[in-house]
Amino acid sequence: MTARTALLLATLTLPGVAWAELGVSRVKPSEGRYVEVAGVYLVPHEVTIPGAEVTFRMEPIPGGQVMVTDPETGEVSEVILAPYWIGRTEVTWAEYWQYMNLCAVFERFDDAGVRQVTSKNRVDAITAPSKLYDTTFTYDSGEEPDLPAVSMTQYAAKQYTKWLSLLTGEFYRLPSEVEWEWAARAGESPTPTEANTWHEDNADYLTHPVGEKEPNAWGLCDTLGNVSEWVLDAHGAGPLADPDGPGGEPPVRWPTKLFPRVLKGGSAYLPIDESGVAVRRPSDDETWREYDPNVPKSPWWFAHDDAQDIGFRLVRPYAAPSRDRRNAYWDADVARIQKVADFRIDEEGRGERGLVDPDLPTAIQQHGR
Amino acid sequence: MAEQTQNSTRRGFLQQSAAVGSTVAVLSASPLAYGAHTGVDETLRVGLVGCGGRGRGAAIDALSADKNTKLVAVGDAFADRAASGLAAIEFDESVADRVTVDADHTFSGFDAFKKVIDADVDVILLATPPHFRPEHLAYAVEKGKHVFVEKPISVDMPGAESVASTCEIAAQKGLSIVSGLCWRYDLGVRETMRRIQEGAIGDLIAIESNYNSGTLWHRGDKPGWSRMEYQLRNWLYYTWLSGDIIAEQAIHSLDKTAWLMGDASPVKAMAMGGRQQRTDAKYGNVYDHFTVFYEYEAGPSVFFTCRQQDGCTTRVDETVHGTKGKAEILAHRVQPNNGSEWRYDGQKPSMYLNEHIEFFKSIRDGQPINNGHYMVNSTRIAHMGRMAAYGGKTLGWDEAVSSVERLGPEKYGWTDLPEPPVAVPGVEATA
Repeated sequence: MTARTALLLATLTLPGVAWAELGVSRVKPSEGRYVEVAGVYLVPHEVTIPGAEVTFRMEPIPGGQVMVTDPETGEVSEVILAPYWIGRTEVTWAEYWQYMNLCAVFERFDDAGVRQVTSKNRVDAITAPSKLYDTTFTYDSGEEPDLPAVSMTQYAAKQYTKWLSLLTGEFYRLPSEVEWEWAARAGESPTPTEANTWHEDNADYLTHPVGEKEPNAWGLCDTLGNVSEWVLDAHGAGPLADPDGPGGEPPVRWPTKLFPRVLKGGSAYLPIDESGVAVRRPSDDETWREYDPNVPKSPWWFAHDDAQDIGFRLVRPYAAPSRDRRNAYWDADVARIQKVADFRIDEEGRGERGLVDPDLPTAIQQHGR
Repeated sequence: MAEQTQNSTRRGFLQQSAAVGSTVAVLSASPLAYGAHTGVDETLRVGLVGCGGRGRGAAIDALSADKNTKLVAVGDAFADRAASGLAAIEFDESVADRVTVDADHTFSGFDAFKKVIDADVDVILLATPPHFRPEHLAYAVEKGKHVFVEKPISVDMPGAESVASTCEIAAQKGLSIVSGLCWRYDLGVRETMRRIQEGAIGDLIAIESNYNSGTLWHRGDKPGWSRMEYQLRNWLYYTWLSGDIIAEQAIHSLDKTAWLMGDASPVKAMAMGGRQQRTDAKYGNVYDHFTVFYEYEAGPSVFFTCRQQDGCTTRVDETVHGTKGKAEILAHRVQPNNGSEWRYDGQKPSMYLNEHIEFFKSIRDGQPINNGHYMVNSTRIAHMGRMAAYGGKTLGWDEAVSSVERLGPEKYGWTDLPEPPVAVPGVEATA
């Protein structure tokens, strides 16, 4: 054990850190992948979204020392990653619809006068995306449930992870860039090939059902292509650190403006040589909102052909930060984003605000239909 | 980590020539004195009527399209909407320094449009609910303004007739009238249309046209709102304000079918429709689905559906069947029976911005654009479909366009307007 790894394990024992139980085995699994951490075993597991017959699968990723090259300066540094789980695939439409449909659900809650958002409980509220005005910009590849969900902004993806977390009691968030890349490399830094990548020349400019291509060594599919995936980081220079967080959090280059932010992992629209694990793609919110006819333009959706290959996958850390710290991963990090979301909801009735807790599925049964 | 150039080889960046302006009808070759901005680099003063989401978008598109412009006046029926609309436009950093609207030029009330038009403006953007369009357009043209006019241009046939007359006057005056039927300004759609019209799929047999989408916004109700105010703030759900979903939203699809037909008018329509999901009283009197079979004198039939229901399959596009293949318009795909599929690979700048670029250029060049013919024809086609569905009877074109039924109250004011009934086909065809 190196000194840095010992430090990592020491930080994992800090008070205020919540330990995940789901996907943890006390006995060494006799088969399949696992990640050993301080005498327990993190294992792959399926999660069923409460209130829906929709599942997704999470794969355990080991922590450790990771060498990172600064994209601006070329400087190499070493960071410590705590162990985590990451989605085997990109989030699908079947999963995303559960969140998307909340706009109509929260509207009906408002009609019934139940579960109202107040200044006191707003910390547990999410914003649900406005209903799709014109599906042309969203479902170009189809609306089959096993296609990756696309065209959402990073803010919408983050609100999705808030919804899923408050619904399940587990802590989900977007991956940091380093976490994403570490998981995609899977210890062997795979080269994009026809067998493992949907790219410009084999995808017919369409996204494809998740999980059709060969997984990497840690069981992850579509990291190299299909859709580009949101991570937490700003694109460009900035400190790779999270000094305010409790132990066990990933190094993040936190954004201070709307864009560019980082998207990872090639896409069905990109050539195969832009699908490598190291490639970073900058977001371009202005262009990707060009076909949104209304102002202020949607904080949840991009309306442009060029954003139909933008998706994301989930991370759940083994050691999660305290509740009040979690919002930093879920909510708008730039005031302008929240201001626009509030305007759309309060002035325009486009998009809704609503409370999320484990009782939400029952409330939907009672009032939401 | 390797750097990557932004979308270096993505389809949006492949070079392909696109025929800009090829489908724009130029009716007037000899503009009169009203085309006073010809070749002049003067600042064009812009006024906005209707400060909702689309009006705000149109204002920003206008200011973005021509850098020598200023937004100088705004108006809305509601003072709060005028103020918040102006704030939202100023929130856009790229145009904020050319928004010079002071409190004296922020108008509200039903006559706000007159005050905006009279505020020494050169260009007017009309983006209120469609009901008010004919009156607003007539006044703007009477006062010699160039106009961007959102779709649809009316909610009834008398309104369409009025707009047709106004557009003729605009042509005589050399004024530009650009319609919000924005797909006409989309480079991918233009190129796809051009290929079809040049015979890539032979003669047209039939067009399947769909605007099948989800439900839209609702702004709720508040104590103290008169029923007139409630209806206006939730205008989508009232036929007298929106023309129903077939005109308000699905006109984009009907306009593309009309374009394919050379902007001819159908001879008759058989239609059905109703409301299955949005049955609550809060949704006013509009339907949530229509099916219309449009028959033309010559050429293909148009099989059209539109829907605003949640949880259902969505599709917004036209499938065009020809004797030698088929095509999809918004997907920009042309598939000949014998030959390889063509897809648009050219640039895709925003059509909303592009229509303002062409609009302002037409003013600068003294080459007025007048979209009057097709915006009136496509709006009439939408109304014909609605009337055929509401009435439950096959409807001829001549009979439809000669309808004198004017929708909405005679006088506007903050009164308790009664809720209009929902049309029951064959029984009570109330619009």
